Amino acid sequence: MKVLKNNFTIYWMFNRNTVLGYIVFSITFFLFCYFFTDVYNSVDMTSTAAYIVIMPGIISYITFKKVHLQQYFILCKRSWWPLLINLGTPLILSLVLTTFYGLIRQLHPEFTGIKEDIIFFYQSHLVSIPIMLYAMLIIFERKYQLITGIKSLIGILIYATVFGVIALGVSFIQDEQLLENIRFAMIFIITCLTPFYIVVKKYWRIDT
Amino acid sequence: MKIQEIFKRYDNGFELSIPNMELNGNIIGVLGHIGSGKTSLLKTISRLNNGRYEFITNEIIYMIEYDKIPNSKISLIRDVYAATNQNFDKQIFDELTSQFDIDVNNFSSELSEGQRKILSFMLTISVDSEILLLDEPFSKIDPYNRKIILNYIIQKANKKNHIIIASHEISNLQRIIDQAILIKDGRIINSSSIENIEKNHTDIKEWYRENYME
Repeated sequence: MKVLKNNFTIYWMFNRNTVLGYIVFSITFFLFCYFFTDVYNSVDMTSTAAYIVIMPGIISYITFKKVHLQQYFILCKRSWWPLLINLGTPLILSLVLTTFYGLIRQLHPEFTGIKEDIIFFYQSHLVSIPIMLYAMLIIFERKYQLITGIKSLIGILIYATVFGVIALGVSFIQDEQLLENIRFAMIFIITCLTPFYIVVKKYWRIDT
Repeated sequence: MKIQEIFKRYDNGFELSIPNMELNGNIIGVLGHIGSGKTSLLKTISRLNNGRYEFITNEIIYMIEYDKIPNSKISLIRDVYAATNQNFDKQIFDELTSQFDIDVNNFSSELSEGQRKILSFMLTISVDSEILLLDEPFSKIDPYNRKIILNYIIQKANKKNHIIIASHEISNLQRIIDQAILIKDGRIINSSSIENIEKNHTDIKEWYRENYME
């Protein structure tokens, strides 16, 4: 617990302005949606979902770039906490803020949606996670030079070829439900599992 | 004091492999050419890379590389060190800021490279840790400030801390170290107390050349 506390202290002290700015900006954005978008079932939902998808990734990028991992490791010893904190904090904040907004928009006199709309906001977070992971990968490459050179290019080519062959293979399948499941699985592997695997693998190898 | 089974392998094939490293004395100088493994050794000991070693202390502090200090107010960086390390002495840090003429209200990005190097030294030497690891503490530093750094290292060593210094500035090291460790191609090729070196050689440079060119 002490290691977690110290890692979080570093994160918080160096990124306080960014995190507080995110909270203030989000509240302003939600208030704008609440008071100035008049159709309480589509316009604010679309813009809120877009906001949820993009913002945690941007915040993760800013905070992870600001403090070098060497600083975390020197003060708290090598651990996974800096990665988890930089990914988790914006995500949790986003969940809390959108829950709050989801609840107050239901109380609006012109609310025309259904109460389950809030679940749509939570689902939007599932898309925000791969964006955060890609933000990490950009930093890994640009700040720590971990994904460079011909090796990664060959990896991408092999990866694309394997998926190309699978896509070609499944085009002969007649069962529509099976086809839909395979398509979903492929999208999930490409957008979620792959960046997650690369982030975990590369983070472990970081030499600061 | 002993550190054993130090090992780290890089993708380019370079291997740091030190089965046994004895720390005899308070100030230990790690010497060697560029790329011999000095920084790798210090980083492995402080767990900044994914190498490994066997040792029984958690009290190790590494001197952060000057280009990796966060771009923030110096007072904030000091406060982060104080908040996360109970052995950090704010009083010593503030004393050092006046010695080196550094304003704590400045941002680290406003400092010159040499001043940032001094800042990383200040942050490290202010921690009362069992082992302090200083990587090239004299590079980019002018002779006046170098003297202050040397004095603080000696002062710290008198408090029974072990200070391991990796440096190319051999003549500066000779004045303060108790033991010299020579590294080549990721391995220790010789280790000797400064008394022995001075007894059998005209100076440490001669000892360095003799062992390194073998």
